[in-house]
Amino acid sequence: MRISDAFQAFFRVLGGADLVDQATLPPPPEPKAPEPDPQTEKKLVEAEAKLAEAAASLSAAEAARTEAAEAHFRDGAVYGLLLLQREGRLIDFLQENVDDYEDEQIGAAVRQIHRDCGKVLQENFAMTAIVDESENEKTVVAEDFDPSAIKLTGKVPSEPPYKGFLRHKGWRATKVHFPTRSGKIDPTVVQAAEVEFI
Amino acid sequence: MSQYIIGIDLGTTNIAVSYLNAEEAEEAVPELFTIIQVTDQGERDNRSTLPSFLYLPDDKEVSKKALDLPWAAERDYCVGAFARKNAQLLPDKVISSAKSWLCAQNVDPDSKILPWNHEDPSRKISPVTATQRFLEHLRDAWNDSIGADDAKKKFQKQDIVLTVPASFDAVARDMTMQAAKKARLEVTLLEEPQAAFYAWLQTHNENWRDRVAAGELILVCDIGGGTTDFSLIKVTDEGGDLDLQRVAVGNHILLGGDNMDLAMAYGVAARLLEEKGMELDQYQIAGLTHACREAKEVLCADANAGPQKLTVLGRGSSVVGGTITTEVTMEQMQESLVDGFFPLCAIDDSPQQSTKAGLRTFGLDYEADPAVTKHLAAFLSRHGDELPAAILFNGGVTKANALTSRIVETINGWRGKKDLTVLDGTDADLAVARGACWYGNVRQGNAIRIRAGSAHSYYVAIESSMPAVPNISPPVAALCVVQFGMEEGTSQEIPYSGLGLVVGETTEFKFFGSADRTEDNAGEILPSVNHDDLHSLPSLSAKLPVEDKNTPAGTLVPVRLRAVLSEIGTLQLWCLEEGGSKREWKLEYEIRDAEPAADGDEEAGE
Repeated sequence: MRISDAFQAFFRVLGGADLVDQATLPPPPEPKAPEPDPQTEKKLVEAEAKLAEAAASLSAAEAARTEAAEAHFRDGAVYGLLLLQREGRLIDFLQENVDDYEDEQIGAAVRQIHRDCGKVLQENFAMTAIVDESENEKTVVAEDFDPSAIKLTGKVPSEPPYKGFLRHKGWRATKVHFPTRSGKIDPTVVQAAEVEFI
Repeated sequence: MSQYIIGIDLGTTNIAVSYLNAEEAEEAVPELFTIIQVTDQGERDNRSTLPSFLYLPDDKEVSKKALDLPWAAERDYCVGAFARKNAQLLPDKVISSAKSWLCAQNVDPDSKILPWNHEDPSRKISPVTATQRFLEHLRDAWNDSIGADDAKKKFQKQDIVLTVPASFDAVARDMTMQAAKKARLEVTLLEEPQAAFYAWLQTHNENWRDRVAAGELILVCDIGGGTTDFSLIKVTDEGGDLDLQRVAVGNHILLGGDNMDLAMAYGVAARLLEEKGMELDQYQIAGLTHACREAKEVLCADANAGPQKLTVLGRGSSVVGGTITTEVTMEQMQESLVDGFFPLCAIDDSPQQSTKAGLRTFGLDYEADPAVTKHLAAFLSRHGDELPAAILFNGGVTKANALTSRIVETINGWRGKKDLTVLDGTDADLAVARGACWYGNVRQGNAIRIRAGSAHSYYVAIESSMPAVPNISPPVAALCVVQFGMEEGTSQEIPYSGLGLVVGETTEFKFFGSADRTEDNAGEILPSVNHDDLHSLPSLSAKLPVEDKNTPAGTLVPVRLRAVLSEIGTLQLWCLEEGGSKREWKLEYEIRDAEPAADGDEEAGE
């Protein structure tokens, strides 16, 4: 099944009225006429078959959607690395064996890499502190705090107010801005190999 | 009335577009239009400017559909950020400085010559077509966002002002208009320094009259990435109110910020070779140039800045091992930039002329002398003894205090007193686009306008009739048809008879222009065309149809000339039949047809 078909089927199931139309369900049986009408029986069986088919396409659609989302997620993660490499040479740096270099040589390269990668964090992720206060100072955590954004450690009080010391101000990507991609691009490439002709 | 007024700064290295809502034009501040463009292979994004580069890859260089845009599938070229990236890596496939080619001497701007070294001649395009492609991109990018849903908001329905260098002569302006027409746009042209000045007028809308005085000359000094452009604006008193008149423009000087970054980089590279024996390749020089630009910005902005570190990362995957570091000090910057490009000089100094070697690579006519101050001295000397009392800076380079204060110091030296007023308050990068937008606005209303006359004089060559002498071509004289300062938007008949057109044959006129000959009058004859200050332009031609039994083919029809100078500085020459039936023929530029318009928005052409 093509993904577009799957989605269509999925949305048809969601829009129930449409499905009823398509399956031409008969009106509910009249209480006055209890004896089964073979015509209605047949239509009911047909409708049930169609419902089963629709349910199957629904799960297929869900599977396709999950797969697409996973691919999207995977490509996005690699693309984040690509940006850090392209603008800031971060992958080159991490992949290089730096054991044999003097600190001065490493420092010189790092200064540049640090600056360029910093731009990527700002422009593409708008990296900002979650708690914009001084670290190791007293802070109060809001009552309805989000445990995924603020981690409480040490002797955590059972009731608010949550007064403690800020040990790490946290980082949040307040946006994720990626350019639009098109064409036949291998999403696993972080840096293309370069061959020069002279 | 259009919904928007759009100003386009079609720069040599960067294009910026600003716009304002026509209904709110009185108060509105022009906004910058962010331009979607190909930023890498298979990738597109919005940027505040569109780099003026055009990349023509062959099939194997990019993946299929990798240059596509929302409005263009299977594109085989791209303009903007990705094209600029490739300008260094694939120099033979990328067109840069297309604008300077529009006014390059001895080159037909409508012939397919760019990129100059492209291996496949069938992929070459003309400077006019390159300009057309940039304009089409702006049109389609706009129509994909602001103009997407409403026919009234389409780009081609708006009032568009396009800026050109003041040094553009009538032919270069005509070529720009043709490029716009092929992109199915109707535009108005405005000189860049004037646009910068309009931006200043807008910023000081209330009180500009307090900042300048009648009788003063204002110098607009526009130093961009690739070119430098000077204009003089005179403040006059018209019945008690101040009026502005653009009285002179400079030549097209191919000298700008890019030259300065390169000069610094080559200086550093030479030092590395001398001190450490390190030889840099092209890639490292490019990286060094980038590092120098950043260092320049810091050193020029802060007089107390210490030495700036320059880092060039290794090219291969070994980024730490290949890294080269050095530094540049304030003294070194002073020496290579301030003294190299802006030496203190006398008002009667003039730039060194290039010694034309017998064999030269054909290309743009880059300046032989990098001294901007000498070019300025020569420009001011050509236009009388009066020196400017005020200066308006524009262009990215003029953000550097160290450089502008040297220019001010130089002019004060010429004036003999330290009183040059610096007109400030504009954004050096965006003033032209904003000013163009503002001009579109004042053009409709009664706000102050700068009046301008022709910044060039124009000539047609006339062969004198003489008995044939073997091996001697008849002497050629030049007839002035437009004098310097001829008011734009007027026409004049040339008081010269004795010209003839042959019926049924194409008559060709050699055509010349000059930015320096300010004293010649229309109808005046220069005995020779061999002057340094005359440059040749594409020929003009007229063909008289055989239509009249009384004038069979081969008949010589006596004509006079009429020159029509448009509001935007383009020129038309007409031949008027003397006596007889008073017919008229337009003289056309001798150029070939360029590319058809690229697809994009098919409904554009109504």
